[in-house]
Amino acid sequence: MSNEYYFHDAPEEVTSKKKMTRLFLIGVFVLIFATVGVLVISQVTRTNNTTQDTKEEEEEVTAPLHIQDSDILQLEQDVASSEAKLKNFSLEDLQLVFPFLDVDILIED
Amino acid sequence: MRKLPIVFLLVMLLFFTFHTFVFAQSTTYTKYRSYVDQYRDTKESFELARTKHKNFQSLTTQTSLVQATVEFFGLRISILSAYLDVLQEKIDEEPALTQEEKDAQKKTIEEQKKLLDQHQQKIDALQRVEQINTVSKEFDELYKVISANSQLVRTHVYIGRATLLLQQLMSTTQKLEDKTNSLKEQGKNVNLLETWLSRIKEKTSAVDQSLKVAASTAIVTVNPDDTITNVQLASSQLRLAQENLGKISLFFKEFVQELKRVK
Repeated sequence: MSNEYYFHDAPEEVTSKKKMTRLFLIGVFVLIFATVGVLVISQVTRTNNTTQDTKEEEEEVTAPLHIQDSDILQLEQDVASSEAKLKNFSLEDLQLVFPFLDVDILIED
Repeated sequence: MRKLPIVFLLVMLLFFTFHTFVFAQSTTYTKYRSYVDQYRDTKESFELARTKHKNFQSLTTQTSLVQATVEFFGLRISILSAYLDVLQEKIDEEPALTQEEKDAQKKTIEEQKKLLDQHQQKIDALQRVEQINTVSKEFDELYKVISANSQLVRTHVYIGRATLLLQQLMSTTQKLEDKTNSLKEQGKNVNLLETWLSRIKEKTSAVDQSLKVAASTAIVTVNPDDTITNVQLASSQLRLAQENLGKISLFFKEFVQELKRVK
């Protein structure tokens, strides 16, 4: 047997490996596009939310003082919105709670 | 085929780079949590080294104890430092605080971080068991100061949030008042509406007063115990404000019900 037999793949194996490589590369590109897509979408959603919040705030500030009779629904919505904000208001934000650590640690003689 | 692992590695690298970039804001809290998670094990190692040294009093146990102490005390500093980073991040993101208020709180936090850095240097310089107690006592004082000042910063965040909420409620109250006046001009009986409105205004005024007292009380003092007392006084005002904010919400509902009836 010649060394070529060991160091070179048979033609059908080469074709199969090429196919595998192509498939793998396609998979990798799909993964990249999916990842970038998800990241872009999450970023866009965040930006939209922020824009929407800003718009809501602007609307609150620029809302006309004199309300028409048909605007009871709007008033109800305002009240509901205030209520929702009240519910979210808490004096216990867990991420802000100060860490409890051991103190008074001494080495006895 | 040999290049595939390299390609795979590059893809993973790309993914983590994007991941870090997009989710960078939450890493501060993750870092803080990871330190907190290490705390129990590190403390146990220290206690074990302390017991061994107490029993054997050898040079080896002394070296182990000093090493364990440096790690344990260092971790306490890392936890506090990471906590201050989280607090800083929270303040940066806080819509309820003005830039001026943010800067003031940031300054307080930076001062605390400097104190922690200075104490870390003392921990790093630990070489003998006899030095441990001195460093430990200094930490106890520092912990008290940082705890008091951090609570103060938190209180300011809550005052800011409550103030923003109050402003929004006052805006809604103004709309309710306009509506009442409009109905009054049309000759409708608005007595009950005016009663609810008067109650809402009374509570709004009470909240405003509580927040002003809280803001003027929440100040730093030289003595951390006094700072804690200030924080407690401010917190009691905040709780009072929160209670009244809840009542305003109930009165709003009653107002709208009456408004529907009058219409």
